[in-house]
Amino acid sequence: MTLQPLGIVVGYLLLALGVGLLAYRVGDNDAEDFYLASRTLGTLVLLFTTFATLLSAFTFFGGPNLAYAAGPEWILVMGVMDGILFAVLWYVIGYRQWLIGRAREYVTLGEMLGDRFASPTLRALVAGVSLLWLFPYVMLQQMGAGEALRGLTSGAIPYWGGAALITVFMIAYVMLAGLRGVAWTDTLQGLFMLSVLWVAVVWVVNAAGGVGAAATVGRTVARARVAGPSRSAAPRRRERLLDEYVQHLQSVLVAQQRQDFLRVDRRTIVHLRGSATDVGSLERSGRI
Amino acid sequence: MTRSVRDWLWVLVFAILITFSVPWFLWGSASVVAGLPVWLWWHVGWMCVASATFALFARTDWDRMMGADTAGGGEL
Repeated sequence: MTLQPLGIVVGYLLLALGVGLLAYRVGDNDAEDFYLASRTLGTLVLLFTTFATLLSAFTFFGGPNLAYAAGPEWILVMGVMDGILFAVLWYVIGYRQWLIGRAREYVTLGEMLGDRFASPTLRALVAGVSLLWLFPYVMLQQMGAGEALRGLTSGAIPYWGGAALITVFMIAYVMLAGLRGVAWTDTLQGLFMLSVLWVAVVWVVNAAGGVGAAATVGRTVARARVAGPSRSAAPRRRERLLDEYVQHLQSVLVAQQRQDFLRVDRRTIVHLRGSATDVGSLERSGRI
Repeated sequence: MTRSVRDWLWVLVFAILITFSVPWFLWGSASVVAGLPVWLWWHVGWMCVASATFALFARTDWDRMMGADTAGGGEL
């Protein structure tokens, strides 16, 4: 039973591998195609590969912790960095870089800067800096994968096992599929993450007892947060608000339990009476 | 190469876009509108403003400012 999530993960990996094989068949056999998909990525694929790239293991494992510890506004800080700052950089630097790279047939950033300033040292420096900073970033994904698989399988897959599985898959996949394959699976993944995110919103709101209840929770939490993180600032007010919040959560839970109880109760009554199957008509006639 | 007033206006516009993208002035505001904190609504609105700005930039001065027609040629 605990290995069931592993089946889903492996199934997804196989699906991704299929997409990778397709990309491999479409692509050419040169560096420009492997690293840059021959500079042919369209707007939609580029959008989703950026989206899926920015949503890293940190988004799922570090983001919620940061938002919980430092306040939900931090989600905005991360999102706005990606949304506005990156967008401006893409418009102003990225596009120009793409134009120049296409005209002069550059594949890497180091190549372009080294050539522009006629400096092999600069070229090596850019390559070195990229490697140095990308190592921890890639390792973060492997660590996140290890934690995720361990958590999903309740420890049946150890941390090193999950991390190793994903690492081996990453290496094999990237070697096979190149940037085109990565961008295609990113698009698949991006669409999936985006839709699941909205499903999660609906689910969370329902679990909190509807939009009204969620709004109450939001208001109370917002007030409690403003009352200050330091206990000395307004300790009484803060504690009172937190108490309010806990009470509210309890009342939501109790209400839900009562509903479940009533539902069971009604079903039992209907069952016991044997004949009537329409609970609504029983209710209307006031018999339950 | 000298930049025109129009170019500097775009620099200003992008600077404003970045400066107010995180609603730091609403930090710690407890106001809730329609069930969501007011700073979240600012974010939603600002993303719409940003989209419109980028769309306008892409349709007007983007190619000219990037030298899209001269890339690979003269000044790089």
